[in-house]
Amino acid sequence: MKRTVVIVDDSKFLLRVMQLYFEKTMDFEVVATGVNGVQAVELYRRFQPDLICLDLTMPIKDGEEALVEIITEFPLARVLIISALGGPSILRCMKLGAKAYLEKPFRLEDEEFQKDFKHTLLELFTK
Amino acid sequence: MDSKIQSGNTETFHIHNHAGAMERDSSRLLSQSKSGLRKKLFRSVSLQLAIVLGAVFLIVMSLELLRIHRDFHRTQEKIAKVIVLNGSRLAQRTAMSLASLVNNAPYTTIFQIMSTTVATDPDILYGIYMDADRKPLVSVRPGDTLSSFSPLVAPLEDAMSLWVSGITKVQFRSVRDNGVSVIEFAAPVEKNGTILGFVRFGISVESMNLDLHESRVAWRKTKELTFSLFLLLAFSALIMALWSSSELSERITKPIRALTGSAIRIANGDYRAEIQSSGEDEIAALAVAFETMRTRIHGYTSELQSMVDQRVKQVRDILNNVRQGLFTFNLDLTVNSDCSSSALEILGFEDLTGRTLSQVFRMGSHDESLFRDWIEVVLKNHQVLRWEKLAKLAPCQDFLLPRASGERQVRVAYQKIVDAGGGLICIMALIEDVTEARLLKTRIEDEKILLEKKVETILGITCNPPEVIVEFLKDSATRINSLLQKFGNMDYPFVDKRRKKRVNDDTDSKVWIRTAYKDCHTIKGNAGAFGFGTLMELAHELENRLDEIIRGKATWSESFPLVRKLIGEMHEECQRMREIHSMLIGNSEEAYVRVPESKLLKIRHLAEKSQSLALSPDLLTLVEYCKRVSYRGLLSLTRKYQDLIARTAAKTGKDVVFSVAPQDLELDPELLFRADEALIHLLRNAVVHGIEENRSAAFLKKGIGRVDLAYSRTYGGHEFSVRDNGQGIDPDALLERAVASGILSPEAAMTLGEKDKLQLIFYPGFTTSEKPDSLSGRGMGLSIARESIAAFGGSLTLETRIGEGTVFTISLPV
Repeated sequence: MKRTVVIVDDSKFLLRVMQLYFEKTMDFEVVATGVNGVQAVELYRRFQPDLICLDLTMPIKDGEEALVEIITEFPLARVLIISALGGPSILRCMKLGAKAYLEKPFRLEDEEFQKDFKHTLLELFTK
Repeated sequence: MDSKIQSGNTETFHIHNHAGAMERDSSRLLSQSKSGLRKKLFRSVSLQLAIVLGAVFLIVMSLELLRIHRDFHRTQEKIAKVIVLNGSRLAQRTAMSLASLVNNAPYTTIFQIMSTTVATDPDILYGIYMDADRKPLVSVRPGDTLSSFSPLVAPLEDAMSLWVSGITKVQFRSVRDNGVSVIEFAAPVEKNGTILGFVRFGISVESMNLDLHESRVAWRKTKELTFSLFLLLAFSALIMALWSSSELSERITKPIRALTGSAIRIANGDYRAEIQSSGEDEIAALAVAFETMRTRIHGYTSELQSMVDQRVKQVRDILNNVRQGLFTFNLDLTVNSDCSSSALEILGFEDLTGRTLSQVFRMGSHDESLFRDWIEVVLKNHQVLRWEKLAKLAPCQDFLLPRASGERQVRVAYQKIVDAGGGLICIMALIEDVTEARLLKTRIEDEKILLEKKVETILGITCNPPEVIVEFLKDSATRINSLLQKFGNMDYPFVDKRRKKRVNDDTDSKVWIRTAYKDCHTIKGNAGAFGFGTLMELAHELENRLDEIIRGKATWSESFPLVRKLIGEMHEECQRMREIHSMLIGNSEEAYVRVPESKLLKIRHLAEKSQSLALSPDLLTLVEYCKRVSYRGLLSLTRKYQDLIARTAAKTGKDVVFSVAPQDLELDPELLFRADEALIHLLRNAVVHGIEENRSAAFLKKGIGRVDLAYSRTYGGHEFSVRDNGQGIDPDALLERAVASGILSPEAAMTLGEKDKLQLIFYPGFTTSEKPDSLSGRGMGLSIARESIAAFGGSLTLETRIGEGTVFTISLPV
């Protein structure tokens, strides 16, 4: 059984890049993608995937609010924060229950970034 | 690293503690083992000695007792023999003496003999003489006298008398007489073979018993004496055995004890003490083996110790010399007192004992709560996530630390310290004072930029012909001065035209600001051509601001401060360039002409004036030479254009070859000066817009891009042509663009012919670029070029063929 993932980011381009990466390189099944926090919560509730990738700065409802709602409803949710926002925002999300984080820019052409990405996914699924 | 050392120290400390306990233990053990072994040895040896001695004395004593016992019996027999012999002899003799007397002698005589005999020995209790019929004639006891004697008539009938009457020779038998043990000796009195009677003597054995008793007492005494002697001997033997065995066991156990002590010391890790061995027994062999082992281990351990010492010293040295400060803090943000000296120095504390991280880092409550959040996140995730990811989230990685000596920039790296089970114990902070480094970095960067600019200026000055640079500097200075004058005060002489969008209103204000714009544009172009980047950037920025004003995108009052500042900076930059120029080249006035220019011109003018007066051909030649005295080769004159092309080509990434023709033609610099402004624009345009990108040029199989500058003398004057082999200009595309940008109404566009369409390119503000940049694009270049040529009464025309290239021609009158 492939691991499932929901990706939420307000950049459609990045969604596509991430979806391809998850499907082709990491062998995940991208069950859904969303572009704002409201969709993030809805999609999580509907699919309850193994992993959800959350951007922080998004319209309508930002990633942090979505994170709080998801964690409240599903305390064991694996949430990966993918954001360009700096330390304090990510620290807050980690405190609120995010399991790991990745820093944008999302440069898949950068070997270090890819390594970090793969390692982070490994860490997410160690427990 | 520090923590490791710290823990190492504690470990050492522990070992020492442990060693102390062990020493105590071992000394107890040693004393125990000493008494144990000694006691055992002592006991067994004493016991054996005692048994041996006891046996010896038992045998000796038994023999002695046996001897005494035998003596005792011999004495008893001897005494008995003597008594028997004496008694028998007494009885025999008395019997013999009576035999001769009995029949003849009177009774008294017999009595006399008998009582005399009895009286001879106190042991003789009685004496009896009885005849053969057992009639007692005499029975005497000591002390009896004749008077008291009464002869007995009746024969004796007792058992003794009966036994005596039966004997034929001396006999004896023991009887009891009045409770006393008596031996009765009896002997027959015979004469001529006839028994007359019997003599009987009762001799008491009491004295003999007394003797025997004495002898027995003596024997007992001897026995007791022997026994006590034995006891004494046994006791002394025991004492001796005890003493000697203790001595012996001491001698045996001493080396063992010494060995045991050494073994314990070695076990405690002390390999220094040498192990003494003496003698050649097994213990000595053991000691030798032991000593070999000790020496070897001592060798290893001292080598190890020295290695450890060396390493510890190295680490200490590093700790004392690194600029990095190290300390650890606990999860409740209390700081541990162990730290490197630099940490104290950086943080400005004498001691970290009892402090909290908030105090040490001078954190506010916000930072502190962030830190607590971080610790919470770390605790939750540190066993799963990589430390670098968590460390990245830590607050206070880079902050200003207020110190009495001024603020210090501090950089912190965090490292977790975990126990064997992976549990988080505390966090190590590595702090570094980067103030100096930061300052140095900024200063170096500033200096680098300054130097780069200076190098740029120097290269611009030295790589271009000196005369051209002087010209440029003069020209720029003039233009900047004019700008300074225009923008010297706040007052804008005209109405703010923000609302007006069209720029082609031919009003005073438009001319006023457009002249400024033109000056600025020229400075930008020239500076760019010579490679004076700073001036070019400033001019570009100023151009943008002025453009905004012209287009009504910004108001005068909004833009003024910035415009003025930019002009000031351009002025300063120009001053700096002049300084560098004079430093490098010397006096600028004399730099490029050995003869001062004024004199040269004067000669030229004089020659021109005197041309009509020149009568001889020689004079005419002289005049002609004088006129051409300031002429220079076209190649030399156009050197700045070569640089311009090279620079622009490099910036756009195109490969371009530039050629000038005819190269050896000498030309009046004045003529080139008139065409200069236009040429700069045309040449740059040719590279930027005319020549295709390398890729498309290769695709079109055109080969390398070419830009050719050519001069020719024409009937009515002079002509410069700029030709490129680029993509050409599509007139319809120009038309479309003009309509799209609102320069031309669609209706007017319909009426334009092919040539008119091309003329759109000279329209002020017409551009094919989306965004203006430092190279071109605002659409003013060609219009300015045309204007500048028109100012000298000339004209600027173009011919183009799509896919083949474009030729711009500048015509100037004589």
